[in-house]
Amino acid sequence: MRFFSALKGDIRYHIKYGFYFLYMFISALYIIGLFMCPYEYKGFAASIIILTDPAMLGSFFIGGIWLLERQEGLHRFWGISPLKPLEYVLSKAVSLAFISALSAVLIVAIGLQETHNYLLLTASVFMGSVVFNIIGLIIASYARSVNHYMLIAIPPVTLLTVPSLLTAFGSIHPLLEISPGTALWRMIGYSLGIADTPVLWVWGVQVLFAALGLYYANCRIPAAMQTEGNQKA
Amino acid sequence: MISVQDVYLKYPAAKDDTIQGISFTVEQGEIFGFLGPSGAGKSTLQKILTGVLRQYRGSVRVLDVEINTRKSSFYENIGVDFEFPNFYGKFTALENLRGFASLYSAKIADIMLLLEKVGLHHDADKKVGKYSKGMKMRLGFVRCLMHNPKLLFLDEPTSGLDPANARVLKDMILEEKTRGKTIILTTHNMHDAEELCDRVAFIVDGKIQAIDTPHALRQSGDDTTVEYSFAKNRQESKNICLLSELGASEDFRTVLDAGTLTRIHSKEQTLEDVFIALTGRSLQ
Repeated sequence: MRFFSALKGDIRYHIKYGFYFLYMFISALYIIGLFMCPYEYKGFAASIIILTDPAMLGSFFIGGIWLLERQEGLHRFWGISPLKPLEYVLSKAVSLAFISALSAVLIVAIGLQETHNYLLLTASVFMGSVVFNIIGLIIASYARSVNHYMLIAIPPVTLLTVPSLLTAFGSIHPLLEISPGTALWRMIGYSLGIADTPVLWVWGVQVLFAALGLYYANCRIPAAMQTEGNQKA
Repeated sequence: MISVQDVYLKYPAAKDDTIQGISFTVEQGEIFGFLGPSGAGKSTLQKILTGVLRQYRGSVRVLDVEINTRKSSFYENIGVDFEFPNFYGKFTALENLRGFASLYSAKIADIMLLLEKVGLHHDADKKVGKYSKGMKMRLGFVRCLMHNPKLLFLDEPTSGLDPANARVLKDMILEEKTRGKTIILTTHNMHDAEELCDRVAFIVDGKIQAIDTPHALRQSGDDTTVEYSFAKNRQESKNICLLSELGASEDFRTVLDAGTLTRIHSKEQTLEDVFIALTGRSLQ
């Protein structure tokens, strides 16, 4: 119940702080881009757009949200509220994943104007976004400022993005398959009819990274909240 | 309600313990004050009591729970008023409070009534980002009360408030006490401590130097003195003697009999005087 209250609060926060507007604006730009894209490349272009923006953009936005909350001193309150760290992390990750899934569906529905597997697309983007958001939150918890966040986020985000882009452009290697980015692209690609049926492994990778991320964030986030204000404990 | 026994805490980056062997107990319904200068360890101690810092040595039991084993449900029963207010600036006061209230399972008090009590009801729909520091302080106080906690931690609750609003808040704190709430007040404002606290602890360099009622502390040490002024050769002269010796003072009797006494004041020790005498440090 408390998780849903937190989730509701986070969604309201996104609306109030303009995240929905921003996502919709970005989605509109991509839709225009897809309209201008030659027909034979539209599906592939949409898969890359959805992979790198709606699905992965949250990992940057969640860092901004964490830093904004920190600036407003709210972490001190979360530290003494009944909200469990796991509920806090999930609420943040899931609320942003909602916008990602909504944005992805809009891009495909308006930009491609073809019937696709919307259920799988929504589930894929939602799941992938949750994983990337959790990773983004963990990275943000180590950041001292927005600039520092952008700096420390680049290596891990690159590491997550490059394998999926290599796979999308035809590279095949077993190591690429253990990346959640690759798993996400395979799911998006299949839902758009441009990739093979995703095997159970693809879902397994996403679930594994979500579980590992949640476990680590559950330890890291309370510690990060506690060390704020230059007090190390 | 609270039992702290021989507690030490060292921050990993620090050379020495920040909290050094502190012990005290607080009974239910008591207002207990931590008085000390900045950097004395008051905030660290409050963080230990609220379960934020859990790497202490010794024993800290709050609401019958050893605080380093506390669960999230522990926070249903405590309210914390921070020295520096923390709210979502783009949300209104009401949106902020309703959002935070939804995290508690307890029945929430009438938020508008609480806002009215602290004089914020007309600004309930105003964004908190546009609030002054004093308004945010009052809003923070409302937030710590709204889930009706058994134990309140108030950190400099009157900081940044004008005298009228400080009075309102102090009355509300005393009202909470009459409802049986236990209140931990952290402050370096001796007037607040004297007025509100049943007992105060002086903290300096991570140690408690004294614990007693404000009255007993003021009575300790030097006796109360009396300063009186009198007219002499068309000029005002002053004299000081102990209150206990005033009746036997020949000088005072002479002035009194001559009708030349112009002013008389007793000079009791303030908590700050006692603090300085005991610790050699100022409260500021």
